[in-house]
Amino acid sequence: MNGMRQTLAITAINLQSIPQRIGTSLVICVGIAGVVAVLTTVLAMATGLKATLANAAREDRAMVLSSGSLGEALSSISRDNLAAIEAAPGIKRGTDGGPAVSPEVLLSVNLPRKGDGNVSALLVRGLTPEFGGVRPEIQITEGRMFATGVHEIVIGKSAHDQFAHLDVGDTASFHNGEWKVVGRFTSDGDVHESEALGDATTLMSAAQRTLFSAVTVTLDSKDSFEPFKEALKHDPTLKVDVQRETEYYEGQSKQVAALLEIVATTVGGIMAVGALFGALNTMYSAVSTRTVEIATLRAIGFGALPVVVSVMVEAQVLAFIGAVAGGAIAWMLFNGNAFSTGGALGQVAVRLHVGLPLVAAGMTWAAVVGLFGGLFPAIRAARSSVVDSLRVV
Amino acid sequence: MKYLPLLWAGLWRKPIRTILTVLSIVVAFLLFGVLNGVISGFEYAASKMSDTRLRVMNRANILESMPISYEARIAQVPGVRTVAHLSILIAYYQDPKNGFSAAGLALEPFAKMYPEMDVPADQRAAMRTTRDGAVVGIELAKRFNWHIGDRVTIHSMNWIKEDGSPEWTFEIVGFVNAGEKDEKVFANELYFNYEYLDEARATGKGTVHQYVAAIDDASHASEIAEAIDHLFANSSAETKTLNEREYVVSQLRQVGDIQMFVNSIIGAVLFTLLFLAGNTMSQSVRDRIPELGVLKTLGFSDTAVSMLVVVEAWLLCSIAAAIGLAIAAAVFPTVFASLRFAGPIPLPTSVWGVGFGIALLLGALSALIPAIQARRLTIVEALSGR
Repeated sequence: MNGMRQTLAITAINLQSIPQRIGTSLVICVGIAGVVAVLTTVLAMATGLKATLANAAREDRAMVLSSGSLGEALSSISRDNLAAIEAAPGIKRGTDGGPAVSPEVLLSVNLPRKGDGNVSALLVRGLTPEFGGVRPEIQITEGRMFATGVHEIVIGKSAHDQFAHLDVGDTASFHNGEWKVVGRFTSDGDVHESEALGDATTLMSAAQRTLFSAVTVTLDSKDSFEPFKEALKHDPTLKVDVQRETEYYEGQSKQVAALLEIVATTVGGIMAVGALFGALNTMYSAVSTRTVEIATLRAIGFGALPVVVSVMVEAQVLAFIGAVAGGAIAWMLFNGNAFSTGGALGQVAVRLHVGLPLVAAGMTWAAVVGLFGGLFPAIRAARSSVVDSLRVV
Repeated sequence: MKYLPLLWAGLWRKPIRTILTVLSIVVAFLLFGVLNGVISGFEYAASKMSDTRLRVMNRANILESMPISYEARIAQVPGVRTVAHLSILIAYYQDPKNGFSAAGLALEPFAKMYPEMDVPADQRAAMRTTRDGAVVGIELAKRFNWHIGDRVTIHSMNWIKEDGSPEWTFEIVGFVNAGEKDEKVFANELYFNYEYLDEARATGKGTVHQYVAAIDDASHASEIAEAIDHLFANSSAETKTLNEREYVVSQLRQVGDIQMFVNSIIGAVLFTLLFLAGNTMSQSVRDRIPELGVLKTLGFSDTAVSMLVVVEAWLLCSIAAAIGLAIAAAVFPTVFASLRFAGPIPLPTSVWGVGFGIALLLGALSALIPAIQARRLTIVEALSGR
């Protein structure tokens, strides 16, 4: 009990004296704030990417791609194959009895971006008139839906933010034609908002394609996936991969998200080492300026453990303040910001999301840095001989 | 120079503090060196690209194709010396994680255009006689442990064969950039005969993805590019012609705004650091007020004393920066090679220059307030400090 009271007393004295040492104490805060800000921002990019792609996915939708293709845009499905897929069991039927199957063609077209005017790839998805049964989340917010048989497209919200001259009424020129933008759409904030949509047949003839890229189907329930997949697998005319939509999008975001996580932990880790040196520095100097004070306390009967604990608590408090500041900086500067990534096949706009799990991760890192930053100086403070320390006076 | 021992003694007055400060600055410059090195490495690779070569591709997208008949027509454009073509095959080996790119081409005319694409003469001859032959970049060969004579099957993500199979088998007949002194610019890809691709593929027969046109005079590049694009305007496959440097830069830009991303990280790191170093310096000056008083008593001018403070900060920052950049230089080639953009290259010299520039700036900024304090100090105040 006595030890507890001693600890509280010394810790209170230490914390109250922080304002007098504000400069050195800030070193811990600023160092850790830097680490936490970088860590949470880069991790927010990774989680934002996963979220954008996961939003698109539903358990009761399946995607059929030609065997071994890594993405929709690199896949090809013929009209014969399409007929075989439509005949498979487990597909939801619409009110008219037609299967909820959406054969789609994906074209990447280079168009100028907003701002610098450099070209980037926009993914244009060609849809058949029946797509509504598969993709009900696509909602027109301005203008109207494209019509079949004519050079018209509708543009996704994020794509509209990224690319120049794609307002309703503008025309985009690609594949040897002028395509009129007749509407703008949202899609529950998912990856399709980074795309443009048009009529599949018109797009295919303009791009001289005879094959669809991939086929998305809505199943009558999520349990129908296995029978559907088995049926396609055992059809000798088909060489296709069947995936749940959720699996597909998880696979799509996995690599880039993993890379961002590696960057976050490597850069954050190296910075944390730097911040640790800063924290050690601060705490050593905090201890050394109080040499006489600590020795006096020891001389009047305070134990070594309360001294150790008090130094470590101080380091933790400063680390915590730093972590809060770093998290706040990341949140204020980057939460909701969009960055775009992708490749030659299409750009995806990703919104950064600084959420609780990331803040918790930042806090944990800060606590670890604070722990080691306080430990060694604390031990030194407790070990120093009372007589030598007092003789300095 | 004669003050060096004095500065040195000042630094080692509190060894633990100095060592910890140096270490945290070392860490910052390590990060700076590697990150900035990656950016400069990309720029370096782009700068190696010639502006006497043009890349012609489909206006719509890099993965859309053009008829092979364009080759002869491009060759007739005034100013164009020779033309080669290539077709991209996006591939992986055994596991989708092992991705790489391959190109179907006619090796002889292509290699003639790229002196840095080094393939020994006997291996070139073997390419001519082996229909399904392939020459493999040396870094790629090392990655998958491929040897000459191996038959390897790779999975194509954009070309299927007539039987519907995406598996393509090649016989490795040679290596690219295997020489000791070769720049590893063609070291991460596989190159194979275009005829083999075109005969076997199910779709897109008689088309290619890109033409490379060697031109006489770099100063006419933009006119020649316009002339080529004009040739195919309003055709079913319109073209976009860029000089090679623009081409590489535009490819890098697709990945996202890397430069902005990296610079923000570097900014955060350096700011954190400046704060740390500045604090150490002012702390160290505060501790030494009586000593500075003694120096002034001995006849050191105000300027001399404040300069001592600044130079001490410079010394600290430069030593730390040198160590950090040296470690960065040691790890950089491995880091850069792992990006599979080009082979391992040494840390660009510009990074050293910029790094030391930042170190000096950092030292000056962190010493600013302490130096002013030291300058204003009067002897009486300083000596009565205790």
